[in-house]
Amino acid sequence: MPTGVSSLPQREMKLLLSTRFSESCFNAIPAIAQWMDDIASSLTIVHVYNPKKTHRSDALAQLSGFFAEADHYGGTRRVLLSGEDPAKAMAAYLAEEAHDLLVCPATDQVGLPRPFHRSTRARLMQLTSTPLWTISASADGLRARPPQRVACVISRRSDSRRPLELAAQYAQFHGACLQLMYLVPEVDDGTIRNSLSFNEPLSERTAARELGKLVDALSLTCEIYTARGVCSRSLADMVSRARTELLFIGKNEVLRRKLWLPDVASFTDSAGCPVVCVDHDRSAPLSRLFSARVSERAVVRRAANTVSTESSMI
Amino acid sequence: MIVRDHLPWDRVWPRIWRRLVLLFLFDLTVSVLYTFGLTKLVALPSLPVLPMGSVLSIFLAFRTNSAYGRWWEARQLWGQLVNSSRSLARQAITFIQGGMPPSDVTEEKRRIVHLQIAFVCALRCHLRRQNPFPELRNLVDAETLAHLRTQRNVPAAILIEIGTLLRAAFHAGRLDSFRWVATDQTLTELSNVMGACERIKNTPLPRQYDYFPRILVHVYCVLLPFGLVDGLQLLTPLVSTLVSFMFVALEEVGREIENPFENTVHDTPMTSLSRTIEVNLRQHLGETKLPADIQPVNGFVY
Repeated sequence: MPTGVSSLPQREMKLLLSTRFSESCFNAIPAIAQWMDDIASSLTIVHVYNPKKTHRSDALAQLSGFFAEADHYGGTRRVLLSGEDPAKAMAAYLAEEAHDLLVCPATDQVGLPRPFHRSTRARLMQLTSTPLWTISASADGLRARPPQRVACVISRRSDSRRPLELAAQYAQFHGACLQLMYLVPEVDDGTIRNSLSFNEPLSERTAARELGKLVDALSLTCEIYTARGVCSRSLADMVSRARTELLFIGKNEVLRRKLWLPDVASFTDSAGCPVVCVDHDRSAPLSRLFSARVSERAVVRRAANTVSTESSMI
Repeated sequence: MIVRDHLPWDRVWPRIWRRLVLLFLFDLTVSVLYTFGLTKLVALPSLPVLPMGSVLSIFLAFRTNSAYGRWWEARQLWGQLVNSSRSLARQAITFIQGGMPPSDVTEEKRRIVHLQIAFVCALRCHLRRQNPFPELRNLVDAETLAHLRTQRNVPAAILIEIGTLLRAAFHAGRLDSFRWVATDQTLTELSNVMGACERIKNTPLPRQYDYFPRILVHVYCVLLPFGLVDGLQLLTPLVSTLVSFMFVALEEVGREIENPFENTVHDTPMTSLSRTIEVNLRQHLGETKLPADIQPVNGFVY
């Protein structure tokens, strides 16, 4: 696990907030403020309006009124894009202006089934490689402090390495506890395949022992959670039981198909905490950022500790 | 705070649709059972149901008034904060000896006024449990910011910083004792406003006010079709669901406005009021580069 790699260039994190002025977007503001204080140096607030439905001046007025306190952050930009498909417009913008993290809260619930709803988040995950941070409208627990429990979902797929790297580095950055979560699948062909590599049936105990080996390599405070089931049914319960405050997961675990349209798995909304969806091989910028800044934060921590020691002596 | 004339349905519907759909299905079952003669036992005399509705209305009105009292007090406190902030800026600029705006404002005066803007931002973030430091970076110097990071109550620490600056001005002879006392009274007002806001934030409405109306509304909505079915028969689901909607909506209104510092659309518009204070205070200093006023977003001011 690469940590404290001082040879890497110091990068500042560029955050992009995609907003449609929904309640979820306002709910996300405390988390963005926390990111801005931790590691982000610039924030771009983007709104995509449909010129057939909204007048540009109205959209501009709304954009300037949204998250007004961000004007004080320094390095905040507001970008108004036009287009009928918000995901396509955002993806085109991201292709021009690379960002390290895309913040895209869930759409507000309408309370009715929407079988033909096109999930902007799902399409953004398909169209861009930028890690996507999301949260549901009903999620609670965004607080003015860094997360103390950062979780990562380990899966049998090949894409769990990148989420694990990022989760570990983020946990180390904040001195948080890293929670490794693994869902042991129900008995199927895959179980038999896994059994061949472990020399014994893949049970919760086997999974916990294998994760334990991983924990030894991480040199972090870790907790291991295993359960039997699949993400869609069991992950939200596990996250709730572990009181996770930030969850890292591979995009492949999150993307679903509802009818023939791409959708985001419902557990991202029912988990009750923010979720960072990471592409398996294309999320290097964020990873590099954490690596570079861990050592910097450690120096700051040491300085703060010195001050508090002196104060207590007085 | 909602400033538009009408409430959009997409904000109301998600909160109540499950209950209304369940009630409609229940009412439909009752009316079908009765109308098609499957059983006549489902009809109750309407006499006990109607007075119960009246009592429940009084209960709900009381609860909504209590919630509105909290919301209105929060708004009044922020109104008082606007006034006290202007007073403190005026006192700092006119009481302390030295240059006067717009041409010649001393660094000391500028720092006090900027700290007051920082206090308002920090109080808003404190109440919304939001990290204030990204905002404070441009309002206070690095040393003060580092000190504030060690404090648990950042707005209270900012008031101490302002008080320390006033004390330094007094000891340096730039502020006489009468004016120092007057300015300190304004700081006390600010401290009182902060304390009152914290009281509202940290003390929920008594849970009995929330729990019993909710239970009673459920019981009433379930009993209602039994009282109506004898007279309305197949029309029962429509009328009963409509009456239930009124009670459910009234109960929801109370719940939504009872917490005015939760970063929701029902909040006291603290971001907007902070901006008003900032613009006023910067103008007091003679600054010309002012932030824009905040426009409502989708009919909501935050």
